[in-house]
Amino acid sequence: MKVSYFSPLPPSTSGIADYSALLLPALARLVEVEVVRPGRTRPIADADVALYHIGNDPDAHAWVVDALHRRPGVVVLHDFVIHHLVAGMTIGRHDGHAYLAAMEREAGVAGRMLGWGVLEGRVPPLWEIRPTEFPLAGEVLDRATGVIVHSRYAETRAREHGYDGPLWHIPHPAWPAPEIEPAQIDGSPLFGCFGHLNESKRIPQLLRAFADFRAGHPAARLLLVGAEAPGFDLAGRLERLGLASEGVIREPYVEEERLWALMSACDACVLLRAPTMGETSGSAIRTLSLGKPLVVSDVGWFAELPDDVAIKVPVGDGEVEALVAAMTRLAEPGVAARMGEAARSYVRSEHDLDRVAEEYVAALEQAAGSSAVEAKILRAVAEAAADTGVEPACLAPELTALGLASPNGHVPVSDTRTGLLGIWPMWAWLGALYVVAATVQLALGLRVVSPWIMVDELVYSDMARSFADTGHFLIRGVHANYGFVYPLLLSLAYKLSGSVADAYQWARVLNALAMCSVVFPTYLLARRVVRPGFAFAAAALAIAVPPTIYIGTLMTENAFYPIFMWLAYALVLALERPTLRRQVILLALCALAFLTRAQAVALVAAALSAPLVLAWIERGRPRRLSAWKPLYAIVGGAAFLVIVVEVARGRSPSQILGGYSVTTEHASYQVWPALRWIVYHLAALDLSLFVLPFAAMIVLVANARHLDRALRVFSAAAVALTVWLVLEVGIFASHWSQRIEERNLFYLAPLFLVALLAWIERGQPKPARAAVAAAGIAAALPGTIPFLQLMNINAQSDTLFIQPWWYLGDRVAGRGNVALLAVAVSVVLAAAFLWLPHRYAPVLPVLIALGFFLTWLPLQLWIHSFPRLSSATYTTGISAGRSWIDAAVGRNADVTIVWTGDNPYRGWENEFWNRSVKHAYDLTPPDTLLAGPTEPHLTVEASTGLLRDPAGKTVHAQYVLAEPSAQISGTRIAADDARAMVLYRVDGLLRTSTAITGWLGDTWTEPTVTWLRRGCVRGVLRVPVHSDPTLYPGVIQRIAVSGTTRPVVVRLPSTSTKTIVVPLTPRGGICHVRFEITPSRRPADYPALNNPDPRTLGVLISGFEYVPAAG
Amino acid sequence: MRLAVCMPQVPFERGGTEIFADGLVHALRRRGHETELVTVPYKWYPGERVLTQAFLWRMLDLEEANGRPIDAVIATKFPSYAVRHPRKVVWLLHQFRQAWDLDRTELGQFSESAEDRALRRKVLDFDRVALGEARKIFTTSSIVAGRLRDSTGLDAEVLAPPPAPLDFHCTAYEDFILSVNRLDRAKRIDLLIEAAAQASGLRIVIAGDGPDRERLEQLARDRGLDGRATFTGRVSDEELADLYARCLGVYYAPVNEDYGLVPYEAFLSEKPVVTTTDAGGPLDIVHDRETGLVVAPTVEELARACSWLRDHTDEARTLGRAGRDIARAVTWDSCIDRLLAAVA
Repeated sequence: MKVSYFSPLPPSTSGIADYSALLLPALARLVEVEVVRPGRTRPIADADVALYHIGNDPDAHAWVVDALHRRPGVVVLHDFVIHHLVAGMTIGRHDGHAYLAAMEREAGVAGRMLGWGVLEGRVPPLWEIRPTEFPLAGEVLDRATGVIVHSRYAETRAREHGYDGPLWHIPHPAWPAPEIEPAQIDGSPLFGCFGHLNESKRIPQLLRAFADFRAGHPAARLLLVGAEAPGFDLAGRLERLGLASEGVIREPYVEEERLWALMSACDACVLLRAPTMGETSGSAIRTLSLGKPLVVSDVGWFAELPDDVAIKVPVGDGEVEALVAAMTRLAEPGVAARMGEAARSYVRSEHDLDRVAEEYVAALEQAAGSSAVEAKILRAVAEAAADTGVEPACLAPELTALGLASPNGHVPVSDTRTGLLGIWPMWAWLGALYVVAATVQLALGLRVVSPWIMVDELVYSDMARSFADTGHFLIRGVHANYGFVYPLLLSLAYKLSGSVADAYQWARVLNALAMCSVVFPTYLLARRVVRPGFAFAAAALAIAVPPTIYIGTLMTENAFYPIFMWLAYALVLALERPTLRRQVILLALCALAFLTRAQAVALVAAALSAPLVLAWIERGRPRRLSAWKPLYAIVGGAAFLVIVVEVARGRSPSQILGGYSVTTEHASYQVWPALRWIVYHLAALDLSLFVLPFAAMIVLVANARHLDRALRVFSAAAVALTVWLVLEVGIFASHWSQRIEERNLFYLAPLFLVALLAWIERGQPKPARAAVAAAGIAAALPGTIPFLQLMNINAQSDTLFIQPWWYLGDRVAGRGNVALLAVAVSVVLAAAFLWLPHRYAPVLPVLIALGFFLTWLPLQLWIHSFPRLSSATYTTGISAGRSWIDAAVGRNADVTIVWTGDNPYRGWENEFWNRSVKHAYDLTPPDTLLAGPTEPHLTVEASTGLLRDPAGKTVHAQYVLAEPSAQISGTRIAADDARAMVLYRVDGLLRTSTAITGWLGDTWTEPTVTWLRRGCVRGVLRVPVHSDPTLYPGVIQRIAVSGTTRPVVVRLPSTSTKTIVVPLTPRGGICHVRFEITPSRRPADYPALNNPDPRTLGVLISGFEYVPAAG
Repeated sequence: MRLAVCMPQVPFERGGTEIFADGLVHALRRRGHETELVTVPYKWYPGERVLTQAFLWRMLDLEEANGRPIDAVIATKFPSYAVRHPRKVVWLLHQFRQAWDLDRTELGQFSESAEDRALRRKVLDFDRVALGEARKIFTTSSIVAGRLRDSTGLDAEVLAPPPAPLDFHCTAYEDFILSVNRLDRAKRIDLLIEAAAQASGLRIVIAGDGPDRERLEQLARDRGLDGRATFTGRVSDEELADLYARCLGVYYAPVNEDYGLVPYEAFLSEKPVVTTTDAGGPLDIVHDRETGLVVAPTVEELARACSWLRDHTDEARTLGRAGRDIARAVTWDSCIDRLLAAVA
């Protein structure tokens, strides 16, 4: 077992530094101790328990309390009153609110008011005038997993303050009395007084008493050792009492060795104290270990000293007289010697250093491991009791009597790792989980062979590529209005590799590393509410959720998932203690999330509302909302700034959403559809997590008010994040996508998984109404999902949870029964939630893991699997080898796509796989590859064939990728014939070589067709034609060919196919051919055809092939 | 009186503890007390089971049976003393030593993990509470009493029980040293084998069985003791009495043993006991050169002591007879008188 030890140490002049210097060597002989460098507040990662020495001096102990706030542990409360410390840590750090909160926690609203008085200077500092009334130990006790005190007095005060955790009373260890010669000081008797000279050490009373005593004992001397408090006026006091010239011997601050020598010279020591801060006196212990009796005030720890070693005098009335009596008694022959011997014996038996160290170890061992042991024992016993129908609660007193369970049931979140987890430090386990998860996920991700979720993957890869090449986030050379965080990450892949194929593999490596890093924030967040084993399980489940399949795709989900979880963790930390730093970190993460996905605006709303949710949960407890002013001020200021800037630029403030601003500007959301889709999304969240976590979350939230603070905070964060994200995604889906956007919602999964594990760890509390309601809702919600409507192409990429149900619908039960099946499974799971005995509780997370596995199967193996869909998409788009364009012209060339429509995957896939493709234009509206300014529409100038952009300008191009039908004027240098994509070298203005009229898109012609080609040379035009025997049964059509050729008439029976070969003789470099077709017919005129087509149709022409004469 | 003797039982195992309990129950019944042996199967691992077992004992209601009161309970070893009764006497064979003196030794049970350390503390707390309730605590030897005092601060009286009533007698002082023990490492039989290898001509007879037998036999072969070392395995009562009757002396030197009936049996057979200075309980009655030989736990010292006995048969007889007088004073009657006085 390892202990991290937080304490001031020499050369600090604090008495507690001396204490630790004494204790540490003895402690280190019994247990592994890592002494933390003073000032360091970061927890020691592999320590089983932390030990914090806390006294009232802010200079010496503030950092120890800071460390305690970072990790709970065992507190040694050297002073029970720590008002001075708290004042130093709050007012001293200009955090008056924290002081007020501490005062309010101590004394309610009245305390807060008094604190205000102090802050405003209307009330003198309470730590100077009334510290014992306001000890302010509450904050420290709240964070303590155990408390060590040196006196029954401090123990009683701690209990009175409501501390109900483990508490050990361990005596102050005694220094071994050094072999030292007593200092040569006269005095018979000689009384010593050691420590600061001030009012609270009762020096005035002591001086008066000594003056009286000396009247009868002129040889008596009083040795005053220690610094004089400012304004104390010792000299004046001595003068007034007639002790100025003789009787009192002064020594200011002395070194340790001199201190011992002076003490040894005394016959007895007078160590008075009132009021007491609950402290123990190191001087008193030293005195006793030297075999000298004490005169002490009858307060606190001093009152607990045995009567045969210390004479106690009351504080206040009769104090001086009692002091005189005590001195007189000690001056009697043999009394001081007798008491001194008893003192030596008392120190040997009660304050022995090794014994104290052993008691420390006992306390630390109990603090570190007891809760885990007790939980196991209680569980075993409670299970046995429950199995036999005995009420488990009856057993608690017996367990307590045997020391098997804490009497108060105070079980903070344990730091103890049990079983296998104890073998390695937790960071090693997490590291191993990360490596294994990333490796497995990468292997699965690489099964995806090509981008297929379009156009998202194309947008982010274009931005990444552009950033790697130019340092700007552009799509086809135009500013990209999307979050840049993920493209920035992806750009590394493009930096690392030249070929797109390599970059694509590296991108998935980055995806796996980014997405799997979610294990770290998930673990840290889970550790706020569950023990290490469960937190580890939460981390493992978080990286097993099916949507991590997006690792195979170039989607922002890969970056957003871990960022979201870090944000959730930051939110929980800020809710725990809303310091300025935590709020700023939270907002910084909100900004980072927003720059990753615009949907993160909902997270800002969650951050703003979570403190209110917590305040509502904690209604009746002291509120801390005012501590959140910085958050609200920063967000309010930022919102104002956005509005001002956007309005000044003449834009709507919603433009800050970039590409997603349409969701606010061009949409009219309606209430009922929005509500319906919100319910669908809740149901999807429920079913995708297999019901149990959803039900557990409901139970926790419903009872949040009665939970421990860690769970209250967690519940507040989880509720705020869930509500806002579900609202946002549900409302968005109701208007825009009409599908369940699981990929925008799955980030919430770890919160629900942690809720389940916390629920299990706390013994599966099932308050009747909440549990039944939770199970009922969780079981019924999946019934609302419109499965039939959702099982379509969109679900393949966005609604992953539906796949196993889809599979069951198609292969087993029929689609119509899927909803019924889902509800049946949900009911079974809800029943397990309600009735599974606690001993089988570990089965619940396993059930969820099994559910995830069953979801993964179709996602990886079925016809709608990611690998299969990506492969199909790729082959739809390209048949000539991935980077055939780069291979032909080099990746640094400049290729422009001129898009003429139909099967956009040919455009997308070629653009993705070829780094040389840098621009795109549309030729035939309304088809586009990417809507927006990245893809201008071109028009053909009839007289010249020049292509002009929307501004009327001609377009320059080096290479052009287009369908042959686009008739681009250029040299054909490569082609993907099977996908009808041709690469032309243009090196000049973009133009079409050929203008055709009367040829319709579906290869039918009008009655007249013209074909015109510029830059024409002698050759032939081949025109394959055929007719339609349905429209022209038994008819022979005539096609009259004329123009710059020899006129001819071709006869075309409706059942035959012919190729018309037209010899071309150019005139002025232009060839012109006209085809007149008779007869022509409108299908709509022939009702028997049952074809409403209103066009007048000629023949069918499958293409125009211009073949220049050889040579 | 109606009495319940409480003893945990490791299923399928039988040793000195079981013989002790049977003897006590038998003796109490012989004195006319209605006595029952109460046992609960005992398993002290893994982890917290050591404490849930304690809880089983706590759950027992031994204040009455079938409507008639039980006058007192006599608990014996961990965790049977968790049993509740207003008149509870503990005749302590031993505490859970893995948590006390064996902790952090190779015979300990608790690792350095925080949970194991806390579990050990729970066992210590348990002992303090459960033993602290007893009206009186007896221990079978001063070593057990000392451990109890050191660990819990509780005082106990030493009350040594007599061995099983076999036909102990003495027929000769032949040239072999006898070991009667369960064969496991803690009994240190290997020390005797090594000593025999050094003391030329010394024969040893090792009675008993146990998990360490194979290793010990191999050790004897490795040391060339063929013919000089005999492993008899488990023997009948008659065979055991015969071995005691014929041997030169009896070797008995476990590590810091709580008690051990073997020295009593040796003494009743008028044989001296060879033991070591760290043997614990046996040292209550084995005194060097008075009732046996007490040597440092080294091969050389032990070999020298055994050789000395072989060369001094008369002295062996004298030592053995001195022991016989001590052993004969230990009877069930005397033990029961003291036990019942505590619950009267």
